[in-house]
Amino acid sequence: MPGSKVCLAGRRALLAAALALPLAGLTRAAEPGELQPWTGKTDAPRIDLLHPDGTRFDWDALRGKVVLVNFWATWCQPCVAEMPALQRLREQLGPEGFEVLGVNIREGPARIEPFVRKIGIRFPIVRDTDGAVTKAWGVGVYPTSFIVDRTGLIRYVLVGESEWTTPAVLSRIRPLLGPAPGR
Amino acid sequence: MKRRTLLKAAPAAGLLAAAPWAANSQSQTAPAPGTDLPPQGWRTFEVVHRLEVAPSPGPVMAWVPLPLTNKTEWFETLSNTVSAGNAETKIVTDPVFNAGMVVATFKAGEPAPVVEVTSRFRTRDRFIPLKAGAGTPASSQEQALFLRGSESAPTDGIIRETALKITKNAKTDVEKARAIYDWVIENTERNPKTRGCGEGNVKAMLETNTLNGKCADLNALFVALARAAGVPARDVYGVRVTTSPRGYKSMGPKPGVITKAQHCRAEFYAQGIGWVPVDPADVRKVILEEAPGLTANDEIVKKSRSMLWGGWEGNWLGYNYAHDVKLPGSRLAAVPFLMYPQAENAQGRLDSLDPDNFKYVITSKEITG
Repeated sequence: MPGSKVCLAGRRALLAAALALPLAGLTRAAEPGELQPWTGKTDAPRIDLLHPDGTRFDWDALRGKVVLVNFWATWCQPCVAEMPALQRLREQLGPEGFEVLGVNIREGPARIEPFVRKIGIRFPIVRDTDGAVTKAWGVGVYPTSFIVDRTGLIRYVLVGESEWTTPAVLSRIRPLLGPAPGR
Repeated sequence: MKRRTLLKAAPAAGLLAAAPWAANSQSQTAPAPGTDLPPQGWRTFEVVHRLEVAPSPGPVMAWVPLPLTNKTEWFETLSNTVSAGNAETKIVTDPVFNAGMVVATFKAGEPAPVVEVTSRFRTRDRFIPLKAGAGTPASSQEQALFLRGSESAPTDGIIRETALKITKNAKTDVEKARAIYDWVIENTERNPKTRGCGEGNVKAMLETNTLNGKCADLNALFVALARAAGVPARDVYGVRVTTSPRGYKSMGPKPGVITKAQHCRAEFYAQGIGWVPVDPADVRKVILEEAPGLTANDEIVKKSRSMLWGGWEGNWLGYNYAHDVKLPGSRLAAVPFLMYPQAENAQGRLDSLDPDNFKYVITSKEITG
């Protein structure tokens, strides 16, 4: 498995060591470029943020879907590189109850909106303007992505960029897309 | 009607007499990089921070960092003047680090939220020989404050493990700090693509072996490692205001617009000596920017490395030493450090690294005569 590229501050770097993710006090080693099982039963922290246009994002409306939560920034080259793949994944699995949520770290609408238009992103984007949500999810490098199941539990984490529509990734996500639980 | 408030800076008690050094550092032509000069004397500058925050339906708040409130032998704040139209303004200092800032609160729907802060200060070169009493002393309370970790740079775990490895053969504070200074220079890189000055997330830098960034990363790395090795240390956040007296083009903008000239320096505390200035991040900046293809073995780099161990040039305005700053009146999370103007509206915190859209301009000029 090739090493993944991540940004601390805008440059590709090989992830060489375990990344501590202090969510709920648990630490899991995260290998670069792989979806790693999240073995703790940890509720995903709420994401109550605004879209770039100022409207409020409805976190509760995602309940019942499998959600990929992706932390990113326009200055982060690996984040930018994987965006088209995230869009393709969403198009492929969306009819089965899958959604992607992009959480932008600390940038304004003037930077985000032209970028979204240029790439053709159609999944929801929210702005974490003070970094509080990023911190609550234990994110220290970008991009970092989490897979949240239909009941709101984190099931996988991936640190770095990925080609999201590979068989290896799909083999992890598809089992979560079983029949939606009754409400 | 504009309201101007003349606010006097906290007086620096026991004003230091100007040292009997060379008095006038101004030259008509730029010196060659690395020009040898004796320590340059006091120079007075005026820096203006002008914020024109985009109008917003809801209330808007803004915070502007002020020059150092602490008295030092190399920096003195002379005055701060605030002009802010239809806004309530006040000067506050944070309760932990004494960081000074202007807080401006604009009413909802204010069509032109503008705040302008004009600061005058004087500064001079600071070169501290490593001998008894040469630096500024600090109380045990102050030393303890700067031994504490921060949110993104704790003093345990991987930071402590790394610090102990680096300093395993060092016994004194100076030896430990020097070992860490050299290690940062030899094991990191300045990354020109880092946004702003970096984020200073030292824990993530070490955990992911991403040892690159800009001043707020590399000097934060020095500070975190020093603290973890038991040596008090602190980042000093500020902005460069004029060219380098010694001709380093990588270490000073031309006076005028300095909006993107923020720079974080560092200090460590040696028992019996006092606070000692260092700047390993600027050594990496010299390597990257002073000329193409430089390495640590080039003469200009060696000169800068020697100068920045125990020395800073007096072409820079220091704001504060603060970490994890809770902005007074803000409903949002603390900022990791206060080196840029900040503002918030109903949609959250504005992007302080995007001055064109924020927007703000910082200018500087030297006051002579």
